[in-house]
Amino acid sequence: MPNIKLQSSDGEIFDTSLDIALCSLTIKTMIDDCGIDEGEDTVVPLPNVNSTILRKVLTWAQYHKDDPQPTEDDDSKEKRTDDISSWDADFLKVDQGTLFELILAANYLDIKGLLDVTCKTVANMIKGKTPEEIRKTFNIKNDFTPAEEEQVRKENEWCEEK
Amino acid sequence: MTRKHKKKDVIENSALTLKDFADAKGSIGLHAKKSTHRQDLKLIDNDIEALPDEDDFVEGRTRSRKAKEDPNHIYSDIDMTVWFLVGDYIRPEDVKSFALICKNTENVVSHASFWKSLYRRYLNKDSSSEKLRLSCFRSNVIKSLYKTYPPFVERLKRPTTTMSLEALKSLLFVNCYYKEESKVWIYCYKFWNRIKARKPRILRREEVSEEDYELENMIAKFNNIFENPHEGFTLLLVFTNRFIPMPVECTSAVGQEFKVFGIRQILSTDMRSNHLEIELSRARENSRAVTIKYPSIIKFKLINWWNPDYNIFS
Repeated sequence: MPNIKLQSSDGEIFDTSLDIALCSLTIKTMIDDCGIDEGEDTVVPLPNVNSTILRKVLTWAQYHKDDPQPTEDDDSKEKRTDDISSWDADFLKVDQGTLFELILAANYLDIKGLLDVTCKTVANMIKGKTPEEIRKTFNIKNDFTPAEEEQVRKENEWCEEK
Repeated sequence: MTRKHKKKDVIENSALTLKDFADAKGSIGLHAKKSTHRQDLKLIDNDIEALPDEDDFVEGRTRSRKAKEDPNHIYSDIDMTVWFLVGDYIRPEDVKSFALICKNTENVVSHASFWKSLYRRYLNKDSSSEKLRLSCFRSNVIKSLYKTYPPFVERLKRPTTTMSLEALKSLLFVNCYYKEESKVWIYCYKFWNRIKARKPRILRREEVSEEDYELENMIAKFNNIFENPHEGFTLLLVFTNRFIPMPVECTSAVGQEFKVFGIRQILSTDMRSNHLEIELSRARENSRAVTIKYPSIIKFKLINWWNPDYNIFS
């Protein structure tokens, strides 16, 4: 399989195998649309992904390159969050900033598998927790006024276990 | 002992425990750490942060932490797109907590795409599933979840406890009626937890192309997914063998607003039956105006608007 050059937002060039790069539907579309041929020294710019995150993305893609492509039907399935493989779980033992950047990169590069596993990881951190516990977990400010918070509480009363 | 001295002592004596802070007046929060013993100090500070101060207890309730927030604390700024993407993985039972995190997550929950995603993942599993209209979409998804989503179906199987009667306190009285079924009198009271109706989300000009702007907003208004004429309503059903006339204030109180002042279940003196007592006050007053007593009830039941039985009794 030929190689392809990917350029991160901070200018670093990653010379990577085409089959790994094609895990990203964004890159695949760029290659298809621009008609990049084998052996050409074209660099694919990825202005929304920095080198640290792109390196992580390529590591993930290298491991998962033989996985079957997710289908449209997968979107309709109840998304279980307890089916993360041990390799993925270890891979995602990163700080929260990196985890969120991986979600954004997976979304931009259109890598469904990576988006799935990163979002599941965050959803698991939310599961069963109170809003205050979640804010503490992610270091988020409660920016509601008391009246707004009360309104949201009332609107979502249906969700409470009584 | 001043705080400054305390911190110095903490640095010099790592064996210091929380007890040493027990006589401290006021709060001892997190401060900038310059010491080489940062870790030790941080651990102690965190322990202290977790403990409520005397000031935190106001009439037995814990006061909001907000008042104590450090104005210099730097919070994380999580991109809105992240919340939109994570929203697709939130379980129905976590929606309230998710919406209450911050305004950004609340914004995600107020989008049609969030409810469509819940519908796709939990309700529209096969082609035979009920197709829902866009208008009232949110309330229809919630009601459907209570019909088919196992954790919610299980919740409805649990009997109504006296604890849940507490939830009726201060709700507005809407109306009441009674009927007889197989020699059992059923009294139905409708209460309302006053809630502001949510307006359809109007798209900003930059969100859609110029030619789609008017059309998109017209569709949004027409298909208001948040529309729910039953939002905030709860029914109280009282089942009894005896006929008890409805209080005249409840049946002909035109122009008068009543709210629940008190409601309780009382065990009879022979301990063989339960009585139910409902007290109403005028909406702007804080004293009992009407008392309705149901002696020896068979049972009572609370039915919220999302309960599949709501339409039978409302």
